[in-house]
Amino acid sequence: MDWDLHRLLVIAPGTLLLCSGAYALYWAVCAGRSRDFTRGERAVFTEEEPEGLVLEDFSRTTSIGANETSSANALGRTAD
Amino acid sequence: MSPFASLVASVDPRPDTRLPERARLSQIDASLRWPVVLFVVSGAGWLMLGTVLGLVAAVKLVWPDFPGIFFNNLEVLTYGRIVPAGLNALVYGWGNNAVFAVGLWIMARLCGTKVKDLGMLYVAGGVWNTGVLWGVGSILVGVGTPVEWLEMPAGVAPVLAASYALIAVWAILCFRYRQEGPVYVSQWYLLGAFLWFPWVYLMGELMVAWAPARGTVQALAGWWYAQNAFGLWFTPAALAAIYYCLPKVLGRPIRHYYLSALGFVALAMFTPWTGARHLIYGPVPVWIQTVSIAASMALMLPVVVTALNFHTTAWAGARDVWRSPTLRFIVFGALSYTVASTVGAVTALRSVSVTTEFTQFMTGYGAHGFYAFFTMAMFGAIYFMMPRVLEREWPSAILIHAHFWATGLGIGMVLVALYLGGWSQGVAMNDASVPFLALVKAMLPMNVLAIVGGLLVLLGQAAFMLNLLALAGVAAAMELLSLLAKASGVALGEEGA
Repeated sequence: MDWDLHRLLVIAPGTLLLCSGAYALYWAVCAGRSRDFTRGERAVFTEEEPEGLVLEDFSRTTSIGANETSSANALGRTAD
Repeated sequence: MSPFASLVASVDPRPDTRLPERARLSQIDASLRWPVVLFVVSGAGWLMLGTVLGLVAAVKLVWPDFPGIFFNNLEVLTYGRIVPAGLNALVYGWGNNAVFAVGLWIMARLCGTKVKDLGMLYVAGGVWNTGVLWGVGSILVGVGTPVEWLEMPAGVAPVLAASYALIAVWAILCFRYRQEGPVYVSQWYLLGAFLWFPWVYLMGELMVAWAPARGTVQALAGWWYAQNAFGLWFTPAALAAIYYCLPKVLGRPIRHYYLSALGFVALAMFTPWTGARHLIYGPVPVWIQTVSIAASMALMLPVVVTALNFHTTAWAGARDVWRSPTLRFIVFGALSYTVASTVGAVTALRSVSVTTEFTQFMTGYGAHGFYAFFTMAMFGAIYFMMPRVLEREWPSAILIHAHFWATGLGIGMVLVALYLGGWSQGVAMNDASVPFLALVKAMLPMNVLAIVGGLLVLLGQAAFMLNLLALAGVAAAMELLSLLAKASGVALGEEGA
């Protein structure tokens, strides 16, 4: 295949991706996401799986123990 | 409502906001239940097939006539076919299915959105797996390209690309309609991975299969693809899974979380430049080799950041890590990422590469990254995810123990064999006075050790598969029974009326 076509096919989407990345960075800065990097550290916790609660325990195989208050689908414990 | 508006409404992934948060999370998990089962079960099948093929290839290094009298002349079982077939089964069969399942689920949960149009995901999943079957089958019958990681015939790529688009669009939609609030680090990694992979894959296919570049540029394009497919697809997906599962199970936020943004940006910036590290002293311009060496060293920055994040968090809850089935695998994967990436950076140096490149050492490096890091992280995420999406516990703790110990020990043995054997192989290959046959014979004990390790890995995967099939089978049977009960209830109601 002609090299010019190669260049076009590879460089055009590459440039598009680079521009998208630059825009994403610009958007992140404008949206204030670069101001406080610790903001999202607790976003992983929910009401059902809150901070401070250990969700799994091999040694508790039949009893829910500390997780008794959680709903039935909130655990990775095993049945035997 | 206009057709466009009704289409948008039909795929809008936002859950019913009138529901309490707990019910919303269950609704999100339930929305992905059967697609996740499809991806995980088919992925586990590909994983076992890929491992079996890799094992057969390893056995052939010790006993070239394997598997014996009846199959000796079968072309399908020649070394040159089973190695790429196994690799493609692992990469596109297991790896991608695992990322689809875990990535979509984590993205949906963190965004607080559910996946609505299940039919599209089933079709896309089916088409993806059919495409992989076509590709792996073609390699086994001798059709394909000789470029590592892109061996499937060119015709398979549009099938995979189309089904990928139908799957990945859900991750983008979930992010687009996410709930208000800060974006978590796993979301950055997943969004990046889902956007980078199609670009990397299509460019790789274009430069290698559809319109092959000439001369050494093709080798450059091939290694650029292989490095980036792992570094910008599997790596961010596995890191996202670790960033999600580790704090979630421990109930503690990630320590030094503020550094994670630096790790993400550094990974995105430096990975694309590392492809030529496999062509050091090869017939490519020296400046390209030097850039790839520098980028490989710079990649230690995200490695140090993730090491600080993961290991200090795990250390703070070390006792709970050991008690959790999920975290045993997750922490194994996180530690492997640190070690494998360090090995990668060191072996990119010219003085080291001259010994390690084109030896079993690099096979060990590949196994370290794919099996010990990516696969173990995915196992951990799957152990966490499946009970939640199926609302059912894993049937056997013994099988989880067996999976962990067999896989951990097996990978350890494979790595020791390939790293030590590969290094001595490289030293001997650089010594012109050592005859090649003596070198091959000297490798035999290490190859046997790698086979034993591979058998243990396969045993562990069989334990995982058994547990998975039991879990998914019971859940499917219960769902079927409840559907039948509902249907008979409706019929009885109609009769009564």
